[in-house]
Amino acid sequence: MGTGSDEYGRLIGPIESRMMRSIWRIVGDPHDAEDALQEALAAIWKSLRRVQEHPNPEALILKMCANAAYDALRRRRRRAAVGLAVDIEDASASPAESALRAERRAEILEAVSRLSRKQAVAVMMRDLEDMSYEDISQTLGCSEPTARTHVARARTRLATLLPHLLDHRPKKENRCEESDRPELRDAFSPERELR
Amino acid sequence: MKNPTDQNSEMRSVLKENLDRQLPPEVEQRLRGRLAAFRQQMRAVGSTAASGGHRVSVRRWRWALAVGAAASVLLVGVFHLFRQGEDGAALAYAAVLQQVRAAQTATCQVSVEAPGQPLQTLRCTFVEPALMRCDVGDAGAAIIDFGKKELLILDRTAQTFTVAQLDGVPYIDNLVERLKSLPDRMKEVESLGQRTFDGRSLTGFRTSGKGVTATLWVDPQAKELIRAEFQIGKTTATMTNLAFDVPVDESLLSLEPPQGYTRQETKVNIAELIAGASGAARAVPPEAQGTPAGIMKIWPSRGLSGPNMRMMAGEYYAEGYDVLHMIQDAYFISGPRVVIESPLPKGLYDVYFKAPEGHEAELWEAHNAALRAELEKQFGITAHTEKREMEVYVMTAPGGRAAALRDPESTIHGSYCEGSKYRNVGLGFLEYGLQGYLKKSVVDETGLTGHYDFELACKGTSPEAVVAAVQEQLGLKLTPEKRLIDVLVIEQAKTQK
Repeated sequence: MGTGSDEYGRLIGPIESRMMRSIWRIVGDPHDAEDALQEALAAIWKSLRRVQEHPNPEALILKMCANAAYDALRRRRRRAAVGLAVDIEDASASPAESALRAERRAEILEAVSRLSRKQAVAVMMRDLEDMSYEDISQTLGCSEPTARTHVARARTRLATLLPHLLDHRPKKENRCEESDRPELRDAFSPERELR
Repeated sequence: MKNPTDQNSEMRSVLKENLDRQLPPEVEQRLRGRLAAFRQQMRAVGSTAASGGHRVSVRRWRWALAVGAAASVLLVGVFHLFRQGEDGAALAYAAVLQQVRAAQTATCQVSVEAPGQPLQTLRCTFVEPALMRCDVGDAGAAIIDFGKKELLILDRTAQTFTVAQLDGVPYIDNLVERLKSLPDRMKEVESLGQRTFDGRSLTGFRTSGKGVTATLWVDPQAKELIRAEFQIGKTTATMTNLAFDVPVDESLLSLEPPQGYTRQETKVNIAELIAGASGAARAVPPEAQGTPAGIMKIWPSRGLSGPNMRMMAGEYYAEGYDVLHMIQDAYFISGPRVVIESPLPKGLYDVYFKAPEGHEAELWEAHNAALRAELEKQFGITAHTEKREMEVYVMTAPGGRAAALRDPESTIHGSYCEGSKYRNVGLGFLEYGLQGYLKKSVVDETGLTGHYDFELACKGTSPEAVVAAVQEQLGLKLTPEKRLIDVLVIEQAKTQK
């Protein structure tokens, strides 16, 4: 067993950038990204032995990051954040493009936060981290077919929640059907501090 | 209809296109600060923690190193959060939070006030990661390992000890953990101004969440936490004489009973004892004792008039809920969209649920599924969703976007509402909130799709007052009409005797 700094160099050092990017892509907000990274590091610290002994520590750490980012998304839903992503925009994009992208990202992240934890983590690991199903199954502690199922179900659910993005149709103006958001209900229900 | 495989791969492209983006340098800098602090922490604590599982070494010199190293790096990060509009008070709060979070030990006096109970004063010691000792005068002490969920009670007078598992008493509060988890964003903290305690002028901060209100009193000059009050239900726990990172005799927190003490099979209600000893705890109610993990337990409430909920470590305990609220929780739907075709059971209920082991993080998902199952089992409630023509309020903007709906000044804090101030919110936010007052669904047909800053203050909460305020202050009209919307139909429910 190495010293603490050795362990950092061995476990975290090589994937620092991936950890940060992974959290950022899911969370998309500087403050929440910081909080999520801090939580991920705390989780790694608490489970250091498990991480050290895991057959694929890198994948496990990335899963912890995805978990923390997913929690950040859920928390944001619960504190009634309608505009999920706070974007630091690409300077080359026009204001209109930036606004459109930010809105689309916010919608996607909102939808991701509605997936179950396993589905959200699986689809993020697959589609954003380009991890193999074998790695995903190892980190989720399930079989490879199950990992495939999680990813497929997540995509199907996202497709149901975001049909207009698939069809490239303009966004519906009447948003009455998407307003059943428990996080919003809570925001207006101060007497019920449930979530 | 799309082929599912095409749809699947298209969704992958959508995710990649929209979420796969570069980390901005300023965000990377912040995150690297966090990583650097963590590296320092690992270096400082060394291999002891790594090889010893979750428990960090409790040797003093290592604490000093860990605290010093982590603090020097983290301080910058924490202060960074307050760079906008900071003042002395915010900095004092940040410094205190930093000190508390970095602390490996803490000692304090805890006074507990609960209705119908005499004031109880305890001397408490906390050691990271999860040890707590509470001394009740010279009579005895309780030592709790939250990590192992074990408890040792020492009776000094009788020289006896009792060992118990905490599984039956999950609502123990580690008050130092509560302090550590206080929010670090000032927008979530209410400033209470100055107040004098024992001739000392202190600055107050208050924050609420999950049924707990925490009030901190900080010395702004010394940047020290002097007093912390936690209001949990009707119980108040006040921490005073606080000291952090003080040397602690480890043997005092050992779960091994001292020599000469004999084991006692006690009839003491451990739950109640711990509730007192920990300052603000609540035991699992007798009705829920023995409820297996993953199973929802619902029983008639013991007379509370309003809802109150606590959630901790994979467990959920709510008091005073009516069946309609339970349905809303179980199906994640707002009240006006629940159509009741069969009368619901009356009265208030308490609810207890414990997530299956290993699934504590998925408490809500498991809770909702179990609640639906129990609603069906206990109350015979079955439901389905369908589209129905319902009476709703249709929200329109006859004059287009009113001047009151301003472009957001800032989007950095996301969307939120503080009192009458709405910041960076879309009208979906407003629409949803109005439903609670109007008791009907609101359908947004304004065509206004942006996010706005605005103020909305109503004189009263009647539908008429709300409709008038929305029109006068925001230029939005709410008209009662009929529309086809998704609803949850409660088909059947049996009433309780």
